[in-house]
Amino acid sequence: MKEPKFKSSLFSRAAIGMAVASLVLAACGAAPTAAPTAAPTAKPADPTKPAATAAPAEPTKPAAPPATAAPAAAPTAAPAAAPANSGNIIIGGFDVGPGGFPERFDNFNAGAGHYAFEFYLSKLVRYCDTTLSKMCGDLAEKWEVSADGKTVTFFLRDAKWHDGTKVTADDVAFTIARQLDKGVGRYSGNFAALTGAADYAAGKTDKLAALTVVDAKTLKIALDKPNPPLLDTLSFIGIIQKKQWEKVAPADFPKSDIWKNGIIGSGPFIFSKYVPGQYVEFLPFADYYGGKPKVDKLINRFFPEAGTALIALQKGEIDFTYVTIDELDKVKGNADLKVIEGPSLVGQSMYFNQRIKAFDNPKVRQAVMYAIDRDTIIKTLWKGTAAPSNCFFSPAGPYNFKDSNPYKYDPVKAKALLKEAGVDPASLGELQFLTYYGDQLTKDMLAVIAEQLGAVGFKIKLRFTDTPTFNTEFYNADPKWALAWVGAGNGPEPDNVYTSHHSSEQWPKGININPIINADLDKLLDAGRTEGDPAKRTEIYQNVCKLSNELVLRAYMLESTRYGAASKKLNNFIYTPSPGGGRYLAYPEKWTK
Amino acid sequence: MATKTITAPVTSSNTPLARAWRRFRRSKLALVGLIMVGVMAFLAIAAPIVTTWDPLKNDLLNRAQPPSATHWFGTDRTGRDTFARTIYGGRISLAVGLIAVTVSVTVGTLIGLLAGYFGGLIDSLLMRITDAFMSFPAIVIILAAAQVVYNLLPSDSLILGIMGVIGLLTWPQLARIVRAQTLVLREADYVVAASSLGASKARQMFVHILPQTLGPLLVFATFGMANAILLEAGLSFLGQGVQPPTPSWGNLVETARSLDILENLPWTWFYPGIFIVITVLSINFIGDALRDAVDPKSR
Amino acid sequence: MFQYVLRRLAVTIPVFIAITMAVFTLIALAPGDPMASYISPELGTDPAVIERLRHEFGFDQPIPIRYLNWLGQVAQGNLGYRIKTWDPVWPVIQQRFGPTLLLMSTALIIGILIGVPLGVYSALNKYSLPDMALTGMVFLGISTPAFLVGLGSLYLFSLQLDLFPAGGMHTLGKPESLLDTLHHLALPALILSANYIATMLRYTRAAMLDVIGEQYVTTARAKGLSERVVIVRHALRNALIPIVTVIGFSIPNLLAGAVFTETIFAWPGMGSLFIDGVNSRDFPLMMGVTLVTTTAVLLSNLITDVLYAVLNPKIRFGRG
Repeated sequence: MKEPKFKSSLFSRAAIGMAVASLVLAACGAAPTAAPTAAPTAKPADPTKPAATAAPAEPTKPAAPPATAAPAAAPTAAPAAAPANSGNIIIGGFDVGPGGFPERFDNFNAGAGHYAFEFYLSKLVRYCDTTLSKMCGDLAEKWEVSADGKTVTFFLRDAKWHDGTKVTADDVAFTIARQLDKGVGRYSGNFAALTGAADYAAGKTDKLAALTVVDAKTLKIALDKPNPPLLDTLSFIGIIQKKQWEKVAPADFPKSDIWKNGIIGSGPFIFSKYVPGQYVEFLPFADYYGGKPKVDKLINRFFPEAGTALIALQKGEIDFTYVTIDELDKVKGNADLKVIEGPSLVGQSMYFNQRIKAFDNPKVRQAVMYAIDRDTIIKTLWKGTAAPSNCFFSPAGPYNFKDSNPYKYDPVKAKALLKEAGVDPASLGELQFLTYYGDQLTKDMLAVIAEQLGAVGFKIKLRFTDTPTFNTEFYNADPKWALAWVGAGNGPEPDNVYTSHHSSEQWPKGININPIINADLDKLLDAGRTEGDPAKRTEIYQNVCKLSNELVLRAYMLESTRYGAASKKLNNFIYTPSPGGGRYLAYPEKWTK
Repeated sequence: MATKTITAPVTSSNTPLARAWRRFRRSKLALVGLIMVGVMAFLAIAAPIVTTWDPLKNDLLNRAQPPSATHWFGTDRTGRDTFARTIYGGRISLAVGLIAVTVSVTVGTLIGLLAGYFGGLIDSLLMRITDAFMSFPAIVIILAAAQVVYNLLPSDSLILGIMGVIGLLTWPQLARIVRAQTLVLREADYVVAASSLGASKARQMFVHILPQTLGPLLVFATFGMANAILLEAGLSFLGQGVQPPTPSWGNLVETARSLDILENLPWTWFYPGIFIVITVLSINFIGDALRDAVDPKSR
Repeated sequence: MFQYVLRRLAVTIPVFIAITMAVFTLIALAPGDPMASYISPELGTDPAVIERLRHEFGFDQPIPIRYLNWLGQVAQGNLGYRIKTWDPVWPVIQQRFGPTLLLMSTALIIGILIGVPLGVYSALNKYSLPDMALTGMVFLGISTPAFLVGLGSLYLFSLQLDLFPAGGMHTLGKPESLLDTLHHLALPALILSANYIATMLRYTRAAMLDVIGEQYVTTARAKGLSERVVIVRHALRNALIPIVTVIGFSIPNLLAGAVFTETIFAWPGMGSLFIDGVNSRDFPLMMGVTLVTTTAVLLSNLITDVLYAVLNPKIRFGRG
């Protein structure tokens, strides 16, 4: 470890010299190291700035921040210095962490989340707040569901595209229809309940029967049967402008350059500049229906290594990034930063490969639950930042079955159950335990779990892979894994459980990979999908949870809390520490710095 | 004059081995290196005797303990003894280094010698193969190889395959170095003279030329050892190295990627790091002395 | 020699094809394809969608056919698309040349300028205290994994001492300037140069030691030439051959970049691009980068071979 020191002694003088030089020459005190001391409010030192950076769609309104122009701004300002955008810029590592998928701009296909979609694309509806308990309108001002639950009518508000034209029901209908077009998006399955969806998807007709554009601001959606999950699905999809996209063939959607070059949205910010491998820049949209955002610029900076982002945050180079539980204490101890926490909405569980004879026996699966000291793991390794889960659903949510068996650590009982089941775990041979999680916490946790399973006789071999390898091994007709550690997005819509638990959704049709085959469960899931009454729905899914807990369909283990850390200079900043794929509620129009 | 030079490298001493050993012993550093490597090897082989701690035994109640009389190198975040993990990790890391370097030195030297000595078509052919191997992106090969090995071998021997691959990926550089030296040496007066006196080609290559390339070769081998151990750490970084919870120096050091561990649990990565450095340094000192001992020019 | 160069260039084409074929096959053998990296394990994706995309992009075809398709496209100057962003591969790669070249050549130059003189010094003072200290430091440097040195120096020099920015190439939200870029460049370049210093120092030292005992050096000394002339003109000149070789295989790195350092410093170079390609099994991108690095390897090997002849006229080309 002396080598860095050696380098430092040799070069540090040069380096310091360089740093000093850049400080002096960059004048204005806007050098990177000066960021922490920058004034929290706007400090427009340069009168030319508004003209230089004004968004094309910023016609008459004088920008708000320059009004506060400080008369005594930057006494040492060198006139030669380039315009310094020192003020109202928010820079974040918004794609850092498990939910991020930097540089994937295809909103219809993004395999994992894009917090940044929230900046420039509006949806039809979105959740009212980060508790995700109630749906609010976004482009839709309100909506009506018919008594039979088979018609939903959306009434749009007055909103404008970034090019200044009006958002119409036509645009929304176009966006929804594209979801069912071959080759466009990953949500086609979610729209199967739309009337005529099958015919449209098969290409038998080029008009999706479900959609009726009543007038420029009214859209009617017809359903074959009631479909409560519809609103949740719609809260995923950014509405795109028909005029910009209608000439793009559906199959070319994923390949289109428009996604990252000149995409016209109707969100609070305009997608302005994408610099590959480095960042994306967003400018405020003056005509946003909710009013012009109060920051001059938003920048989403890319970090291939999460540790670097955390260092940049602590240095004040960026205003926000994702934080791991390991890093939490450090961030909490930093007076300049505030921690934002929320449920991850990812249920972490252990899948049993039920093709292996022993694992199709509920007693064996229960034995596995009893063999694992979940409470101690959560208390020590997770530092108490995770909650034990009983089933697919979030333990804090309404669908959790409160009186579930907690499977308290009891290796003696585990052994007894195994004996009862007539299974000698050692006879199963070496069992491969597969995961794509590569963080140190998961490595430590799985090492402990493997050891505890070893104590009741299982022989476990851990295997950590990257995501593509995992997917290839995991989604496999003839899997080699016996156990797999997987996180599953579990909320807020309970119907999300369907494709991974219903017997009709066995791989490769759906993602019920274990597979779970249980007639009672199927009945419940089918009922929940079409039940319009919220109270009855809740009861149905609580029963799903009860069943899942009793039979240990999967070894549901825990739901973690996820964290973000933001500079205290940010106000009204909202972050949803949710899984890959969202919901990434951000309400960036409210942010100020 | 010429004759004397020809024979010099071979017969200047009646007992070349004894002479070499005498010269080798003269280097105190090399002796220290030899002892240190011996200690490392001993610790690795005799790990179960040296420590009573089980490197895989978790103890969540005694996690993240700093070094103490009970846990010499402290414990990691699941309460495993770092000393035990370090010396058991040496088993894999030393094996990785040795096997990878053996493979790459053998292949690289042979190809370099043949190409440099024969020249012409053989040279072109071998060097183009070398070019090809140099162009292969190591990460892709290791990914593919790990998968193939994974399907063919029992999971415990996965790392053996990776070691072999590391060796096969690093030889081209040595081949080019040896070839470059050989190109010069085959024109050297004493080799030309030996040739004219009827020394066989094999004898010219292995007796007259090879010892002269020993300098760069040993440098390469010592670097190779360090590189192989580190490459394994890099593979862990990419999720392709020795799979936890099995320890290796590489994946122990790799845990420092978490800023929390880097900052708050330095003992879990610092000691394995020091073990890597000591091993590599010792091997290097041995290599230096070995070169001097075998090279007749440096007396 | 001109003929030799021509012949080498002619051989390059089949070598090229063989290499791309081998790499293509290996990429195909590696587990997972771009579609597999599409799937978010946390959400799952409709398998039908994946299957359809897989079919559309031809991943369900046999490897040889896929290779021929790719080769056909390349022959027409089309390297395909980076599947993650659907940008054409060639411009994506071009954007990375500048940053990588800047980073790697700075590191290499520092490495040569410091490593070679230190190596000569080390050889002339064999087993002296400075020699041993240098050796020790070099091995401390190269025995520490690159990502640890990277993260550790970021932690120390950027966060604690506040000397350098935390990665990236420019300060965002400010206009780009040369000084700003240099400020971002300094730390990763210095870290990378440590490896080059180590390599140069060790190879130079070894080569010098080999040469110093040679007759012509002794002869030169006997002729009464000054020690300086002996060392520089006679010893160093011959020691240059292995050094040139080592520099030779550092040259492809100027384009290939440094995976770990670029990743940790968020440097938008080829190394981080390539690892991104590997992580998403983006085969057009991986093949594109391979094409570039292969060209660099073949060219630099050719150049070093020619340099051998310049440095040592005794070497004849194409014997036998």
